[in-house]
Amino acid sequence: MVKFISKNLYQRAITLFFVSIVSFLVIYLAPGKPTQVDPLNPKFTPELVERMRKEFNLDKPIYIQYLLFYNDLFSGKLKSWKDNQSVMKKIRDRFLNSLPLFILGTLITWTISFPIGIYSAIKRGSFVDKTVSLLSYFFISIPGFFFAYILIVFVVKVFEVPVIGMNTFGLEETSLLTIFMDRVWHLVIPSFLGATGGIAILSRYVRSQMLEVLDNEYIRTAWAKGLSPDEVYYRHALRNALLPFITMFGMIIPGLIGGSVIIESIFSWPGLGRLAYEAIMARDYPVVLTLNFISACLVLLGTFLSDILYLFADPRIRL
Amino acid sequence: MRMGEGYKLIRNDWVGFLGLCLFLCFLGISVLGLLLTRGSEPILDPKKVRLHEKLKPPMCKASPETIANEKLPFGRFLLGTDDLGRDVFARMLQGAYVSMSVGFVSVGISVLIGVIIGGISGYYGDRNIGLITFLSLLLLIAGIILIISSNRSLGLLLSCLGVISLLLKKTRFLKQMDRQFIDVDSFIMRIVDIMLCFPSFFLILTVVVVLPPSIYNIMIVIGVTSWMGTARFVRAEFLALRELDFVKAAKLLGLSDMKIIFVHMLPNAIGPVLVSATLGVASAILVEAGLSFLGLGVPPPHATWGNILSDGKNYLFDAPWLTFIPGFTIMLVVLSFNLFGEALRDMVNPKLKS
Repeated sequence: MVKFISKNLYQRAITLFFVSIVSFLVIYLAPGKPTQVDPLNPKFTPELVERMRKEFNLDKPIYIQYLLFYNDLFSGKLKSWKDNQSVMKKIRDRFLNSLPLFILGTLITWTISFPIGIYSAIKRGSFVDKTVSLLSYFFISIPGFFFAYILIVFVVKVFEVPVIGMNTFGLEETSLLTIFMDRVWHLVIPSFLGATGGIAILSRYVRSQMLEVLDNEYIRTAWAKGLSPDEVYYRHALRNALLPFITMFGMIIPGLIGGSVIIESIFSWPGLGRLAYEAIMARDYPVVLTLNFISACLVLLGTFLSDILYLFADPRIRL
Repeated sequence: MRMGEGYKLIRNDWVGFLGLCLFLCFLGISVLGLLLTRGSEPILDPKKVRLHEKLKPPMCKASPETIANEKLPFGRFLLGTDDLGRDVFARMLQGAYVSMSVGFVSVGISVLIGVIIGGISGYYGDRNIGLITFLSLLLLIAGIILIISSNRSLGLLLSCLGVISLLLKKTRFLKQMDRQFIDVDSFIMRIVDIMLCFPSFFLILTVVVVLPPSIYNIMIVIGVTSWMGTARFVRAEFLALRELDFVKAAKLLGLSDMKIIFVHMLPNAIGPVLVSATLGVASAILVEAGLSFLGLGVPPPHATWGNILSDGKNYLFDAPWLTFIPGFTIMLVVLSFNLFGEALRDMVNPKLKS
């Protein structure tokens, strides 16, 4: 057990090291220097560019830059190139904004897709099953930003509530209930939007997993023993069908950064995805690199967690 | 699988058949779009600006002077005009060609990389890379990177060291040290793991921003960041095929590795590759549309469905057709690819063949 975990961690540490090198190289070897963002600006004199290069260590060889960057990152001294604020503080603020969106979206996805998937597997080939699978194809295929606009038009016209941003400006004087409802509306629409694609994919996956399990001989045995349908489906089939979702559970963690760029920019939600987009557009390399590094850490953490969970959940894996 | 059998299977699955029909239909439209809108004097001009005709709704009659000057189908703007008075029908036709080619070329790139890397990993997987070979390769790569990043002298030194140790590794002293370090399969799979660590859309966004905007860069970037799935499929198939009798027979007959891989093994592994390629085209079209929506996609003057939509979103309430026409088109195309891909998956699945 300890050996398994330590070997697992050791491999991940090596992967993370190479990830740090590759993400650094992708940005630093690309054409276009960060000092050239605004070449037409008359204030950008050659002396200023030279000072910037010195200030941000851009005149040093690339391996020194690499070491300096990760040294700053781990000691928390890393500064954004744009506003000289601490990168870690920026990311922490935005992370707290993204968190409710992420949690609500994940909750919606998992609570809706499991009942749908299980039901359509049990009633395979029925009208409901066919409708659900057609609908899920629609939701997989629709571009998220287009769906967002349909949803915005619909919500604004029918319910007449504002949905852009995190809250409505100038509501501070009104009653608590109004402020609360305003917050909820602003939160629900983007997280519902983020969830639709997830629901479509996850419910198809639950369905196929459930169907595969229902084909097994131990299910036939369970039926032959004369168990009630509920017992067969939920005690015997569902438990075995759930196993692969432990891996899925680890994989949703990195969605915190990568999955929300487009949705957050449509809804002007000041979260991590939008921070990433703004930093990329402004060539604010410390922020971009840090976000890249953090999301790689999240991916590795997610797969590590799912490995460990698997270990506990599946009695066939014994070390 | 013979053609007749496949035809029968897809006829039975009407949803997949519908997907195939739509898919072929859009292929036809995109070829038509290329023919109608290319050249300096195209039949339908997607770039022509007519400021007096801006934001006309679909099926709207063009003004007499426009009809006198240019040919429009039925003298109408079939899908309306945008904020500069450009014909949306012509732009959609051109966009069909651009979006389709982005989808197909990027998936072609990713399938090519995936098949090569997965094939090497599956076929040569149990060969070993020695410690010295590994280290000298690392030195070589580091040297090349240093040369690119304008640190010439050190880079040259490192890469020379790498080449020399590669050449000298057959000598007795180094050969003793060149012990088994890692096998090819786990080496390549570690690389795949590293690639999978990057959130794909974020990585694509980063690379697209730092590269100069061009349609080819978009294709290459989407292709280069999405080959990992294919590589894994191909590797798994090759690992299973390698042990089968016909491959052993081919080896005994003395066929070259290339011939065994490409003539004998690849056709047997092509089913899952085709499925993932079909689904990959769908997601590549979606990614391109997303990039265009953020203003980072295929640059003007090319029209793509993504940038028609992103231009049109500013007129969401005054001219909804500018948003809804490209939006529904993207959805329909992606839907047809997904439906066809799923049907293909059922077709190549040996469990369902009865």
